[in-house]
Formats: sequence, structure tokens, C-alpha cells
Amino acid sequence: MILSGTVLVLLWGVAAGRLPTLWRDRRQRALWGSVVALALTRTVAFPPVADRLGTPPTLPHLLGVVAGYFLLRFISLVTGTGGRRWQLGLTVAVLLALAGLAARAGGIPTSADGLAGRLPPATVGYWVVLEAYLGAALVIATALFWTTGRDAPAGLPRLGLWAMAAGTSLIAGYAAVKAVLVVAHALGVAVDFPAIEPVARSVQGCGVLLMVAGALVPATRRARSVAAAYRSLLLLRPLWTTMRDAFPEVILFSPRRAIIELAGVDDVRLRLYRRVIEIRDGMLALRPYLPASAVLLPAPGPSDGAENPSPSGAVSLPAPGPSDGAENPGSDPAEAEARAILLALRRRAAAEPPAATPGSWAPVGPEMADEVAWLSRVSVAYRRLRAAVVNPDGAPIPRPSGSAR
Amino acid sequence: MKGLRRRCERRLRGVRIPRPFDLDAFCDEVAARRGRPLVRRPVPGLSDGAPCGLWIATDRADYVFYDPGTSPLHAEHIVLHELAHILSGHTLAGDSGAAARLFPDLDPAAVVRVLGRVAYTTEQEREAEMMASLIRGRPAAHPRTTLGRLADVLGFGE
Repeated sequence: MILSGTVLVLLWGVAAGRLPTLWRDRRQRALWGSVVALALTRTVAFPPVADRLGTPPTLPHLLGVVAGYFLLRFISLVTGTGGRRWQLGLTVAVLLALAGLAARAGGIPTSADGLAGRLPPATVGYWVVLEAYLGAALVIATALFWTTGRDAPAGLPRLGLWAMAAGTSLIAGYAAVKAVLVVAHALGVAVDFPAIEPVARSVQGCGVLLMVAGALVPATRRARSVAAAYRSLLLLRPLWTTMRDAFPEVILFSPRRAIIELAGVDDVRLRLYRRVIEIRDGMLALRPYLPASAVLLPAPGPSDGAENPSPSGAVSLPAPGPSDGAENPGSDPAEAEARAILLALRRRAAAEPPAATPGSWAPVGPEMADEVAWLSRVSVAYRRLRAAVVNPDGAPIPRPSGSAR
Repeated sequence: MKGLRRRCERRLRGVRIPRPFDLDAFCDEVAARRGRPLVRRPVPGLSDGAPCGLWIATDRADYVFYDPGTSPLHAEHIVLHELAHILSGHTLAGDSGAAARLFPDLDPAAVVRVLGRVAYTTEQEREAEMMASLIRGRPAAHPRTTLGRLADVLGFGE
């Protein structure tokens, strides 16, 4: 029961976690379909749920066949072989055969005690068709995960693929053994189903666990990178919303599109890239309002990832007077940059004429990581300064916008 | 917007994008596709009252100008925006007045096309901006092998 519960939680967790991938491509949709069908299969077969719903004994089998179809479809899309038509045809044929055999047998025994009784040919045929279909799909999956695992980069990717191969082979083994035992029992061989069934169930459960865990393992590194991207999006938000409000013409994504772009893994990185570019567009548009008479501060050091290709140093401004409510900039270049942005925004809002010789923004390294690290620091400093300038008494500050972007 | 992205992805199919990204190599790729030289030049102060990037096509070469007064990544993106105009074959003449102001010696008769990066208010500008973002902001595609496709779905590798 504990194993079954754990498997259910994992399966539904994976199904929920992969939901955004539905918008990506057919491969992702096929894998998601397989996971959801498997989760449904295990859910309706889970004793507390089955008792409560009065699940027909054959329903989990039919859902299992649907999961097998999506698995075959996924394999076909990944390997670029096989056609959808024959897979669909085969699956429909199996479902019809199972329904016909179940009707002919007048019900299919699924419990160990039921299987231990006399088994009519239709029942035997039912189990053979079911387990052969599922077993074949799982053997094909095992071959795929095992062979690609050999070519995968060593470490987590290979480990994950081999864990998946081990999981699918365990379940395939379960299917094969069950079909053989049912046939053997029907032929008169004594089979102790009540003794075998708990062990077989555990093997099946472990197989599903290995399969799901294997699918999760390779993605851990990528998951960390995606989590970092989401965090950076949040850190950059104060500076970005300011630029968006000041220069709405530099925003590319509509609010609706921006939400969708948050869903996929690669799309989050694209969204982060856009956020950086749109901030930089705004800063470029603000540059004429940045006076060159500003005090130079040290540029971010190598530890900040800033290889400086620009001849100019970071720009700081004299600390605002008491009326500004801001603190002394000290020697933090990010705070100096944030202060410079605030001043340029203020000068632009006051319709002051552009500086005859504009200043320049702090230099930063050439890579995306350099930009994100630096602008995140500036954004955090900007948020703090803006709060101090706008709201020196500590009253709540209105949110800049309700936009999802 | 989804249509815009799909359209841009379609246009980028077959275009070799160096990984890790290298702007010089990508410019060479664009020049090779066009079969003519591509000249890239920084113009300080280009964005003061003018576009921050500019593509001028003459009958002999493509010239891409950009404002270097920004971060290296942003400057690179500005260039990519102009390259995206070139790859898309955008044909609308832009603000040739901006080119005349910036390059008074330029013979207007020699200019075939002028497109500048100002805002994303027209379809062509949105296309160029989206393509530039896809070129630089999207991780490298997995190889088109079984392992590559599996890596893409399961989310391992880069």
C-alpha cells in the first residue's frame, strides 16, 4: 500500500510538472499522455479508490493499454520510425479483443483467488492479449532506453536512462511471467497465485518507481538552471517594469504571450533574455539624460564576471540630498548604477534637455550570465532606492503594474 | 504572437547558428548566404535621435551600423536584429532620412534598402526582434538523433 501510494504521488507529480510541456511538441504530448494514462491506471486500481468508486476490474487494464499506446507513440516520435496509423489500429484491435473476450468469459477475475480457480479459454485469451501488448510495448521501451543510455553522456543522463530501462524491463518481466502462469494454470499446472501475487505487485511497483525516477534524474541539472532563470526573472522585475512603463515601445511580448513564454523550459530562458534586452533598450534610451559630469566608480570586478570591453568606467552620481531620502552610494557600483538610472528617469520625466555629452552605463561582461548577474544586482539596488525615494516614511508602495509580464 | 514565433523559427531553419554563439561567424554565414560582403561598424551616438541599429543595403554590399554605447550583449543583439532583417528579406524602405543625417556623404541613389531598429510597432520590426531573440536567447537545439530527441524531451544535456 505504501509503495502504491508513493508511486501514485510520483506519477501525478510528474504529470502536473510536465503540464506546460504540452504546448511544446508531439513528443512531449505523447510522453505526458503515457504518464497520465499510467497514473489513471494505478489510481483506479488503488484499493481505497477502487472500493470507493466500484471500479470495474477491467478498467485499469483498458487504461493500461491506452498508456501503452502513448508509450509506443512516444518511442515512434523519438526514433523517427513507425506510423501512427498502425499503432492506433493495433491499440483499437487490442481494446476490442479485450472487450470481446471479457464479454465472452462473463467477467475477468483479477484477484489472486479468482485466478486460482478454473480459467475458461476466453479468460486465458484475455490475459495473454493484454500482457502481450503491454509486454511488447515495454520491451521496445527497454531496448530504446538501454541503447540510448550507452551513448548518453556519463553521469546522471546515462544513469537515468538505464534506470528507466531497468524499470520497463521489470514491468515487462511481470507481464510475461503473469501471462505464462495464467496459461500454465489453464493447462493444469499448479500455480499458487495468492503466494505469487504480492511479490509480483511489488516488482511491478518497483518497476514503475524506477521508470519515473529514471525520467526525473537526468533533468535535475536542467531543473536547477530553470529555477535560477525564474529567480533571475523575479530579481530583474523592478528594473524591467520601470523600463516597460517608461518605454512601452521596446516591449516585444504581449502580456498573454509572456505568460505562455514562462511555461516551457527553453522559453523561460528566452523570456529572461528578452527581459535583459528590454532593460538595456530602456537604458540606452535613457542615456541622453545621464550627465557626463557624474563621478566614476570602480567597475564590477572579475568576480562579477565583468570583462570590460568598454573604455569608460562605471558612472555614479553624487548622493542625493536629504529630500531624496536616499542613502550614500558608498562604493557599490550596482547601487551607483541604480542611482544613475533613477536620476536619468527623473530628468526625463521633468522634460529636461538631453545632456550635451551623455554619460555611459557601467561596463559589463559579454555573456548572458554576466548581464543577468549585473542587472540583477542593479535591480535589487534600484528597488531599495526607489522605495526610499518614493516612500521615505515607510508607507506601502503601490505595485508598478498588474501586468503578468 | 505564436504565429510570429513559428514564422521566425521557420525562417531560421537551415541557418547555421554557431554554438557557442560567435557573432563574427554568424555574420560570415549571413554574408555567404547573400553572396556579398557584410560590413559591421560601430557608430557612437547612433541612437541619439535615431535608430540604435541600422542596415543599409547598397547594390554591392550590406552595411550594419550599431550604437556601441551599451553592453556587449545588447550591442550584439542590435546587430542580430539588423541581420534578421537581411535574412527575412524585409523590403520596406525605412527612414532614409536617418541614413542621410548619419552619413551625409552617402549617395542616396546607391541605397537600396534602409531599415533601423527603433521600436517593435510594425510587423517587420517584431519579426526582426523575435528572430534576433531566437538566435541569441534560445539554447542550442539538440542534435536530430534518437538520443538528441530523448534528451530534449527528458531535459538533460544542453
